[in-house]
Amino acid sequence: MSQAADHSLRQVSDLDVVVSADEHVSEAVEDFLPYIDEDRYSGIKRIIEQSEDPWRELFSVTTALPPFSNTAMASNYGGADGVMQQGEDKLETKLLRLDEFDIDYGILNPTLMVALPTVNNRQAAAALTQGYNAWLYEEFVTRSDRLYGAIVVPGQDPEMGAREIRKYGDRDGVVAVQLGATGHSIPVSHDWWAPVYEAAQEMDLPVKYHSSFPAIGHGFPLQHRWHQLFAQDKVLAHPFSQMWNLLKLLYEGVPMQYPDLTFVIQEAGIGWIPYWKMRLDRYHLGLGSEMPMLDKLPSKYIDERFYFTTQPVGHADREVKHVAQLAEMAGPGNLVYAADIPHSDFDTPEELFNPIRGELDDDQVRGIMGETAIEVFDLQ
Amino acid sequence: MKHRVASTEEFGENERVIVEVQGAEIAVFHTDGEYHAVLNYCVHQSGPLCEGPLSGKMVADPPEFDWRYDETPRVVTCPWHNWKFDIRTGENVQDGTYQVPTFKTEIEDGDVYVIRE
Repeated sequence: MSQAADHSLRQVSDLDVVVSADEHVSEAVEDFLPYIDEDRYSGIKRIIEQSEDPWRELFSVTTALPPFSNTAMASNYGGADGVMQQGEDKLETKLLRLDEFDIDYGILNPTLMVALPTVNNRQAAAALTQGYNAWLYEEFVTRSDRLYGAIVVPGQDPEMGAREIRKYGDRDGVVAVQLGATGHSIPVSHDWWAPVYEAAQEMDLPVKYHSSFPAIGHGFPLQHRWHQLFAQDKVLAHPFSQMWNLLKLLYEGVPMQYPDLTFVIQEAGIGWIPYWKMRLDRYHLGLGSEMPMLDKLPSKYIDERFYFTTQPVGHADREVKHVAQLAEMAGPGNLVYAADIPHSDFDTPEELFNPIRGELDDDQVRGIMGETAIEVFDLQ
Repeated sequence: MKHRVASTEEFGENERVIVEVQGAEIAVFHTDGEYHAVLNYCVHQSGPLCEGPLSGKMVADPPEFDWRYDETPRVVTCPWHNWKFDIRTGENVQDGTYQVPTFKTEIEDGDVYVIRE
């Protein structure tokens, strides 16, 4: 960490721009059901609309205990004019939330649809994807210049995902592709995903991997089988998913196969990044003959083309300097702030800004809090 | 300074001779009529790099990136942690920014010499 560099930032309002690179809508199937194309998906749409419990009947979500039982969910908080309430999770509420936390721009991800890998039926996965993308685009992206969208793609049907990417990829406000990170039947490094990567690269869109506790039963069935607590599902799902994805993507040469593609890892925090980079490098140096397509250390690919959303930063007890130290080790140029509102482990901008201001250079802080995201996602 | 290592007759194909030169252990590898001198020291954890096997290496070229084994014996693998270095350049095979020292060699009157400047 620099000792002599500019350290004049004092508060979030000193920043020119704050971008949350992971904001959520709280969609229900009934929200986007009207957007599912009646001609293309008439059959499966009739089945989807009959589901009384989509989380279990269309998706296959199980948790060790009910999520957040006996816990005050941020999304149920009725104060501050109900700004956090999930039931009012519409465009106006999203914008109010950005204002509430002094966030200028948000890049939207789904909530239910991060569990898309748990949908068994291929037609259902495609129909849900098409409906969600259309709904998000019409209801949020086109109606605000502060909210940006990511195109969700189904691992069950990568060709359909590629068509979605080409359909929306050059539209204003569409800034990324969301693959999901947890529970895919076929790992994100496999050639199966080539249509998605080719389309994303062609449309010059970063690919994002958002991990998901609802999909832990598919991602890590053995661990989930033995979890006694929902909290265990929650703690484990995100870093395990991302460690595995990063290991697979790098060691199997996906960045080499798609040299113009940018990768964004979401929802696992920052503490694991330096550990995993060092571990990936260590075994690449020892076992590199198994990965001859790589022409440099895995960490160098990460430095050049991988980004990480910061939320949840994690709790550093009273040793807040550790947050800055971890950010320094992870690579300040590779971190993009995320709030994750309205989820109950969301990070206010101050949660990250306060520990890193004065420790990292001001330029690095500005980058993490918003300017890097503007560049990575080419926000206009 | 020029130091005699051994006569050329003492080198079999793809064999090496390790000698001490001014306190430093240097290995001279003989392969395909060439002699390559490398410090017997791995920059990773100070292991005896040049006591490990000499081999070819795995390569993969775009666009398919299928693995292919280049049998040209030019890679020495440290017996401690398997770091691999090119005996001609001293560069690590995985990341060329890691490098072990190499030295010039000369053949004179049937003897192999290593030049340590």
